[in-house]
Amino acid sequence: MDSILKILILEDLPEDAGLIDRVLDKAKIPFESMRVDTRDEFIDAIKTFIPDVILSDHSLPQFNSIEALKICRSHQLNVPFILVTGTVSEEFAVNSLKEGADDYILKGNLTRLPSAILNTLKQKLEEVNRKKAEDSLKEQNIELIKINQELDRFVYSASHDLKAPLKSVLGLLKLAEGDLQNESYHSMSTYHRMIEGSVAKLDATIKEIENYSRNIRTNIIYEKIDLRIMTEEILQSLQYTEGAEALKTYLNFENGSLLVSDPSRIRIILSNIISNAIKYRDKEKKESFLSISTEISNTVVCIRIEDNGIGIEADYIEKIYNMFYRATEKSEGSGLGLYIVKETIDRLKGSIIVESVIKEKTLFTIRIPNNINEK
Amino acid sequence: MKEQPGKIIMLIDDNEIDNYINKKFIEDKNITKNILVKTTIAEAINYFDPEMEDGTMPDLILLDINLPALNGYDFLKRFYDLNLSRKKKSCIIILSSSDSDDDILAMKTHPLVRDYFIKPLSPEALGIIENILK
Repeated sequence: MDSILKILILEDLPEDAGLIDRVLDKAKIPFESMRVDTRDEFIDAIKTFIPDVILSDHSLPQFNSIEALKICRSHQLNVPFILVTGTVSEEFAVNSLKEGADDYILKGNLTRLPSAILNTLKQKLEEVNRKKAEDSLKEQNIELIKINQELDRFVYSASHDLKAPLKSVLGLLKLAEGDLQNESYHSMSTYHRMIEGSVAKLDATIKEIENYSRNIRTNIIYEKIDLRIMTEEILQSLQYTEGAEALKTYLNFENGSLLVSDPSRIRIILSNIISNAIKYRDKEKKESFLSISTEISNTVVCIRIEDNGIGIEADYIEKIYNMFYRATEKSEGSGLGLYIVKETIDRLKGSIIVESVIKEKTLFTIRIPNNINEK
Repeated sequence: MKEQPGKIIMLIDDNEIDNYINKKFIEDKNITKNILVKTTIAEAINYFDPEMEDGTMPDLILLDINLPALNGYDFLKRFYDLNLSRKKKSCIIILSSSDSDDDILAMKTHPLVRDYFIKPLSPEALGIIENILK
């Protein structure tokens, strides 16, 4: 014990308390003590004096040690509680220990007090450490169970998304085989086109799974990013996606385009949201648009991405970031895209808010830290 | 040729390619020409109404499990709750790309489900369908 021990003495006789002080002085234990002998004083001392150790006589004029123990417990005070009494029957001593007293010392044998205090303190410390270890073990267990469940779900859904296009291809090949046997060739180009579509879907799913695991496993790398250039690159890479040509884009980087963050993660976030805007454009509208604007300060980057697509139904909006959740029946995706967006933004310690009006618009507002000090 | 144009098969699957494939398999086998395609559970459930005539009730429903929004399990729940005055039972068969033991067990033991086929439809599966509709 290097710090000063605060000892609360519950004792009606000042001389006896003085005796205790002297024994502790002699044992060279650094301490300060406080003597109380009523219930109210005791409760007050627990709250204000905050003792490290409590030494209690058994019977006091209007109070006793068993009651004092109960008060300690009800105040969640878990410090050594040692009975220091005149005479005591063995039965009483056992009872007190059962009630939670840590030790008992006879006033006639006070020389044992210093070592009793140090021992019980050591025990309490071990108890606290053990409890801490148990708690963290429990927490880890819960976390592991969660990760395992997520993994199970991931394997189920990922294997479905990988298998479904393969089974389509198998079916198409069987149809083609039958047609060939009947020397009927008119459907061949349809089969061909459908096989191509299924393979492209498979490829997209594998890319999403790669993105997902990359976000989880790789460390964050901070670099200077020019959002204008990155956005233009993403739009260019998506230009052959079906419907890309129908989407008008409005880019507004007047309030900032430069930031410091993890470029590969920012790219994943932006390309997922932009490709969603292409996929879920409202084909019934005359003009489909996508507008991106920014506001960048030295600490925060805010990116707003708005489209006038099909929108997200209010009932589903809370679930859109769930793994493999597909909110729209028009969905052709795996349901991983926005989950990856959310996880990636979480890794960057940012936030994402979505507002949507069905058949009108969807607006994503992304806030991430601008880590200019990291570069 | 054992053509039976009267029999109705309903395909419930969000994957348009698979619907094309399954429709063609069934047609090529001359099982029926009467095939309804529903790409969402909501659309499929809407087809049924208490007033509907016996002749419009599907004889067989081929149901996929993994659809967006509502899935195959939701369909079974809603179908069970439907208050159909004509009690003609439609036979329901699962046609899914899932070969997960959990799905197979859950579906095979489901009181409404007659069988479980894994995509694509095999000649054996088509034979079973043919027999059911006889």
